[in-house]
Amino acid sequence: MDWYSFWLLIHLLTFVYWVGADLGVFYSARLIVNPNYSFETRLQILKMLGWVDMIPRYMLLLTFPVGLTLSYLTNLGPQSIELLLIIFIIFILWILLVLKIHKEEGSLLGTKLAKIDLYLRFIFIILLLLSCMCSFIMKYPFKSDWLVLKIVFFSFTIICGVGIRITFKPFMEAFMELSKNGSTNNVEDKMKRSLNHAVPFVIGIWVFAGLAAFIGLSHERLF
Amino acid sequence: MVDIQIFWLIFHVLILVYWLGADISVFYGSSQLTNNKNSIETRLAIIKIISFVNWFPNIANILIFPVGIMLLVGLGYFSEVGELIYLVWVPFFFWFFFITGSITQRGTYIGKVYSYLDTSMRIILICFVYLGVSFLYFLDVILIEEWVLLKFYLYGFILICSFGIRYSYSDFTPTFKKLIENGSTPEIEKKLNLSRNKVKPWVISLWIGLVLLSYIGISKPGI
Repeated sequence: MDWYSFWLLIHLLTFVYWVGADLGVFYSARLIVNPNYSFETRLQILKMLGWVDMIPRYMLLLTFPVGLTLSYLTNLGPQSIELLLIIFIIFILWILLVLKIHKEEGSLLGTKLAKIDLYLRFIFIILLLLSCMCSFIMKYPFKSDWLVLKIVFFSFTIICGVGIRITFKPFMEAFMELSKNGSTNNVEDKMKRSLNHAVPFVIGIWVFAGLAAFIGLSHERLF
Repeated sequence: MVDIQIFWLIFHVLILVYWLGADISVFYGSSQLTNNKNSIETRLAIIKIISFVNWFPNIANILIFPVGIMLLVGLGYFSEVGELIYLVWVPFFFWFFFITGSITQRGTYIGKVYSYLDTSMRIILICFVYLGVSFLYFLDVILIEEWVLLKFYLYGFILICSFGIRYSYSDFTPTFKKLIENGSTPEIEKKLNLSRNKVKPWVISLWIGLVLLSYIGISKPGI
């Protein structure tokens, strides 16, 4: 078994299930804001969207430790197996947190955990960008410019993810209103507006994830 | 410098993204189609989502072969054939036409003709990858390494799985039509579930085939 190829395959699969699964989520969201559908149908589509959307969420978190393992194997990243193990544990715990948030959606605990997750993302973005700056200047923790650029793009995708979360908040509020008071022009507009505000961030994720993949695939020829 | 080989490589990866990644939404959506708690309106909305997302795996299914061939050309394979190798696109262009016709004209006479042509195309391709490519390999007509041969065979396996999906799912559409016309009955729900259960092993086999196809492409065993 060639371990480098194995981890590369896992890295590829995280990208596949991240960007590919997003397609269904994006299209389904358009149906939820269609007022011609009954509330029950819209709710079921929202539930379906919520389930499928979990896959890109897990993949976004999983892609980092897997990528870090690849950088360890190619001698381009930190050469500490202990650090790698700690990072894996942190990210597995984080994935479990995201899973719990999904299960507790709508409850007080779910809201609190979602807030913790959001703060964790802010910390993660800052750490990633700081490590990229250090790497540009000192060639540590990442030794290669292409890898640093890839991580910068990756951190932009997380920023876009935070953007979606913020712009999508009114959507969920409007949907709750829809469930209580039924469809009104105000509620429908609020949902559509919120969805439209999220679109640039969704496209941003696709573009930056695509650029990160592009750098990963073409670095041998480009750099 | 970005060269054509990078373009094909990225294209090849994106095909996998929109095949394997998009299939998750289709697979989960189909589980909601057979959920008798969902109303007919909800199930029709889910059909709409599945039909849209399923375009991507359908197109990816066609493109993966000629794009893979272009990648191999860039690696120095098929030099014996010269410029004629670009003719590989021609049958796939027709196949695209047949698949598009069979989907958009579904339920009509012309749709049946397109579906027949699509089936014929798949049979020809399976015969080509197992008989034609084996002939070229074992008689040393053109240079094909083991990993390339394995990829051809796996592609054939994936095509067989897609046949399995099609035939085990063939009862689904008429039963679903009955559901729309007559409403839910235990018999109809049972038939829908049976159809879905029959398709599951084929879908999972296809996914495994695609993952193996990627692994072989990444690790290139024997080189």
